[in-house]
Amino acid sequence: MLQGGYMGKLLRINLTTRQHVIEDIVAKDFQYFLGGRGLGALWYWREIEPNVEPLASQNKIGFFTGPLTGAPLVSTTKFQVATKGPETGHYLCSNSSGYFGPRLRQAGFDALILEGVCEQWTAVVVENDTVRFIDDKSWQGLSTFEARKKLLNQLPDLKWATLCVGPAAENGVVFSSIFVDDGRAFGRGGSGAVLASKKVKALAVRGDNTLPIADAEKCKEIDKNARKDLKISREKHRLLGTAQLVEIINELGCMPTLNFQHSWKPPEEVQGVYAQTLRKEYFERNYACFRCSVACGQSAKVKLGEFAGAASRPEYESIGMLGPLCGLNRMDAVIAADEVCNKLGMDTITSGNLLAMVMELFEKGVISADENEGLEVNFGDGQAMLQMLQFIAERRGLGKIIANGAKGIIEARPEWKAFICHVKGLPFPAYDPRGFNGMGLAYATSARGACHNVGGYTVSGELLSDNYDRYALKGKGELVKSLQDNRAYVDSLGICTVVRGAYGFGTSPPPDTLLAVTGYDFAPHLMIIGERISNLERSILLREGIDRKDDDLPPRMKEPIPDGPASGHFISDEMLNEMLDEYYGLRGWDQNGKPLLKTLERLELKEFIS
Amino acid sequence: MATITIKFLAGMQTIAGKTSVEISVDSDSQVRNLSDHLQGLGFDPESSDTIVVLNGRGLGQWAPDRRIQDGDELIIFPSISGG
Ligand code: SF4
Repeated sequence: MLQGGYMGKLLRINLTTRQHVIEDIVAKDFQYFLGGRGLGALWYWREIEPNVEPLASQNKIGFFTGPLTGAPLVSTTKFQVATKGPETGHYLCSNSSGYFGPRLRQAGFDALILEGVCEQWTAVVVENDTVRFIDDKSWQGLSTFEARKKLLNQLPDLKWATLCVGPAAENGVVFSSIFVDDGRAFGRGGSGAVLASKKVKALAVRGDNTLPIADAEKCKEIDKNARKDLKISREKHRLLGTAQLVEIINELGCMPTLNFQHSWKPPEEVQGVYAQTLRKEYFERNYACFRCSVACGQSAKVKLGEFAGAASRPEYESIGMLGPLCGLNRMDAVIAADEVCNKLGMDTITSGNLLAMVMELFEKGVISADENEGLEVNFGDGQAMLQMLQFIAERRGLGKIIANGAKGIIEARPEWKAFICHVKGLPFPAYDPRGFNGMGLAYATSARGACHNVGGYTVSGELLSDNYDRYALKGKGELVKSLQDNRAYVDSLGICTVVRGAYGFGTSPPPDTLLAVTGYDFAPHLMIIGERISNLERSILLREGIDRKDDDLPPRMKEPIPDGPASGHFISDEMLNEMLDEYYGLRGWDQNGKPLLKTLERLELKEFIS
Repeated sequence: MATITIKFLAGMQTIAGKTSVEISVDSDSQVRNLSDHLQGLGFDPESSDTIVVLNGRGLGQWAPDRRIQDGDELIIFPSISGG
């Protein structure tokens, strides 16, 4: 029935024994969970015991592609990681663009699982169905960039894709990321630390297989139309990228500023980190992922001044969290901090949040430089920020505590709880939910902690709906559920979310793309598949002890925003509970956030998780 | 007459060629008439690529017959989500 879109194989590498096996993936798993995030969640349910410690050898890490990853269509670049994440201590899913997913399929696999632990630092090289290891003590200490360079230097000059971790991961920083190729990352949740706990510094993959496609001619036609459709998106994203949101979110009064003490600053103060500033003063070229005509990435370099030479591709979230959140309205310092995070291999969103916490603690006199090897870190001090990032990666000074993430910090210093905005251990992205109540519900219920992707990006919906506005409570449950289920299936397809509109992958997707690639009419089932994945992830969290008590927002959200366009707004416990009740009801969950038996039966999920 | 400000954010500045504009509208103008003004400036408020906000709330969230008031502020920006 499935004529294309899948290789049908999983590569499992045991790092302890150095053996690998190739396993079949049954068609039913694809039909019910699609691939990518869905397949990752199913694998996680089956193989990761609830009491496994994230950085223990029993934890495993899996990479999962979707039916469109590497297909001959525009922007078929995405793949997913699933593992128990050290930042939250629970289920983690994360997605990335880049070439690794498509190359994994060329090697012949839909998924790659790593289990066990190596005796010494190694790089794993997968070429078609062969696996080899490059053991070398000198992998240790290399930055992500250096590791990639060293790895590629040792491989024949072919089309390799790579994953690398940096020194932060080696030191068990719980928010360390996996760097994909030369510019993308599995940013959130600490998958880098899991890889490093297995002493894997890097992976490379390539292959000579071709993904079977049910109707190649039809694919050509769909690709042509999608590229045409993407012209507007291309213009919109190429020129100014996602950095445009700095101005937009600030004007809406929801820009996290000075560790969420404010949510807005006058434009003349913030314009130093606007997209227009990035373009005018620092832009070098656009960057594109695998087969992408949009090329939304903005490669930027600082040419002059104290941060001269720094280079990165800053996205909105990184600019927001390393910029205004830290009182830094200078793009040169933001680029420098972004680059340091990339080299060390740390998530920019969590890094920005925890730097801002340190800055506020200094501002309020709660901590002093004595506790931090003499380094004082104040709001707006770019140089101190770079040094503090280094301290975190090396676990020096306050970095010893910060490296353990929000949960670890609160355990060690409960009195700092009021200064960290997180849900389930994952700090907030760059939208203050007090200005968009739906974002609050999205953060509270997201399967991996506070997240605007898995949780749902409600901002547009809350401005465009005819039924409610951004400060209403009623209707937000429906909006968030729909966004989450939609995102869950898109994350399982292997396609970039920026371009999904060109294929119509919204709530009523057309059949053509998946029919052409797989030969199977997935379209009528896609939102149900998304809902099934959401419920599977919730079942995983419940098994790990997460329930309604954890679908919460931090204390600062209960205080009114002091100034700006959303001034006076807050989300109290009562407000959140009202939204949660609506959301749980629509999901078919009980009052504690547990899927009812009839919900699991309706979604045909029971047979997979009993 | 009422004077309103229209701010063009981010990518919309490229289209408008300016960051903001002040326009005067008849004192009996209503929210439903704003679309015509925006179209006159080269923007389609119905487009899924464009978001229009009046005084902090989505344009479509105001009653169509709400009277335009002196000092009302419209912001217009591209529909985009973060990375
Ligand atoms: S739109 Fe941007 S993130 Fe998406 S595939 Fe293209 S370059 Fe990558």
